[in-house]
Amino acid sequence: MSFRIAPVAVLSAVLAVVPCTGRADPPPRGSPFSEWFKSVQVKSGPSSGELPHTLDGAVSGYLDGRVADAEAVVKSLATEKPKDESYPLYQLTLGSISLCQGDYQAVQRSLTAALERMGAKLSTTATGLAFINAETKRPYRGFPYEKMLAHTYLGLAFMQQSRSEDARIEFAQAREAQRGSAAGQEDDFATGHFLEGLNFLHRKEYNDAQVSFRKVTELHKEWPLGWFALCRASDLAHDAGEAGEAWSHYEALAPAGARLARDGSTPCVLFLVESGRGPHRWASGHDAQGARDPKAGASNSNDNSKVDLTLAEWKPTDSPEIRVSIACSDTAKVEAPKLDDLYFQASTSGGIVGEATRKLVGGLIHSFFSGDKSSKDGSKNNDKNKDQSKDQNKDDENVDLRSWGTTPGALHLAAVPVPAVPTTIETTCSDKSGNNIESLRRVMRFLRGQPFERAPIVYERIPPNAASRAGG
Amino acid sequence: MTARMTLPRGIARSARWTALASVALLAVGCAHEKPHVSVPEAPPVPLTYTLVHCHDGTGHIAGSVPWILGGTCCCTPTREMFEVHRAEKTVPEDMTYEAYMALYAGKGIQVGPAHSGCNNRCEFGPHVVFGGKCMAAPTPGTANYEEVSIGHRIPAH
Repeated sequence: MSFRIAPVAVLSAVLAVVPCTGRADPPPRGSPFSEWFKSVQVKSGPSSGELPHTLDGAVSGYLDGRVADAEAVVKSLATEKPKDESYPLYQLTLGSISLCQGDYQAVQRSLTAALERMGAKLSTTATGLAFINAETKRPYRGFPYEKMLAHTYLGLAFMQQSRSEDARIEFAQAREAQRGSAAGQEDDFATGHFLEGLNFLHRKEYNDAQVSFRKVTELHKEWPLGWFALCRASDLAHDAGEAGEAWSHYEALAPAGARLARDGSTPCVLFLVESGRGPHRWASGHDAQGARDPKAGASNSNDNSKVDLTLAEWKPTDSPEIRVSIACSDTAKVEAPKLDDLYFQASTSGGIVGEATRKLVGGLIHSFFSGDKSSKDGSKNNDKNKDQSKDQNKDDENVDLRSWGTTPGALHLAAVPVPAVPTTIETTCSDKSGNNIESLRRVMRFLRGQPFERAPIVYERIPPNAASRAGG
Repeated sequence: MTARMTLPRGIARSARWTALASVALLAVGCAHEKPHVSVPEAPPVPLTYTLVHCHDGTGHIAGSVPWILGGTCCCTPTREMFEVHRAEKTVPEDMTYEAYMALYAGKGIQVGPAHSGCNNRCEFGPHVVFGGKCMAAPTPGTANYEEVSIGHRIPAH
């Protein structure tokens, strides 16, 4: 009899455990085994969906609309690696994230930190030492377009904190950052000019506001809000001639249902909407994945003694273009037209000469050091495969493709007439064919319109990948 | 007469312990077992979006008492706003503006216009209606703006 006890005991033990695990329904609470089993499932489950602890991981999370997750990753990167050569990119990304969260104090901190590092004046020695490193290992200095955008966001952040003097300085610096571009193409960021004009209105500097809004109307002759703003600034500056002309343009362009009163008394809300994904850096002579195109004539990477002069260039990201319209229950839908294409801004904001010079000087210094090293190593290492992989690594390091990955593809602006009492507003997006994208519909409650000069500015970011993620 | 089989002592002892352990395991495994009755899930309670707290974004709701005095008005306590409260008799008649502001300072509550634009995500946050020390006006168009307005958190989708 006793011989049979052990198998029976094991069987009974198993039977006692099995009921807790084998059911389709969740086990009752309190069973220690079930609690442990659940905890194991949570820890090891594939659906935990944590973002990779890298800048790329944070950027892709942000573009998917996972703003809080992206913030956690990039915040810890910025804290852990303050000396990292890509530190400004952490701060720029944090700036974009804080903008989405409506935290303008944090936007100010992040973008100030980023711009400080990007614009740091290095000593001659430090600059020379930086050239010894491969391009991707050098401190990130940013591009004119990125600096322009960062200064504009900083200006907006100051404006939202009622710090109009600080905002004025930032908008001026945003214009300054565009210098170096081809003649006639500089100073063409309409959103920046419009925000600067608004800031001048807040400061009651109406002549300066006129200058800013005049620029907007030069850049976008068909945009009614630009004419309205110029009319307001001109009226306030007692320039009846320009005010009258601007008003006639506005009347001709603005749909009747969405028109604001000439004296600026119509309560409204300004919407700054960002859509799509910003441009990215791409090495000419490489395919989309970054691998070198074998047909590219400029390839000389097999010879370490030569300098690789492959330049990176801006490339638009193929996020689909969307149309944004905004409406509250009492008014007609107002289109928020695309005011700025950021690929255009990036590709025309100059800096090519500087980049090419840095490339040449950096390449010569870098090839001198690496060539010297390779001549010592060459006799010891004749393995062809190793050489190839080394060349590939060199290619990767010689073209710096880093850029501010959370920038939008397009900026839209609209002033929507909204009653002066808390009201619900809906933003809708449609594709090129006019089909509504349901996953991008957003409802905002309790917004209250105010006269044009004091109208609240609502920032909205439409995540570029959200529609595809939701199956829209 | 039946022949008794004697086991080696070690085996007999382990068999006994195993039996005891299995009884204990059975007891643990079944102790919480209750017949499972599938109850249909109750439909989620629909959120009510009723404006409870007024602030700079929504504009002042006439007659609402300042937050610091136990009310629902979270408008920035400027001198002009204080005069509105006096006119509405929602602050004590003999209270001065300085004494009113001292109440906020005494509780360590950060108020605008000096403290603004953080959307209550600053070190003093969350908003006072959620137990924090920040009374900066929430940023329009954000979830926090709606949550402060209605006075409770909106569950994430």
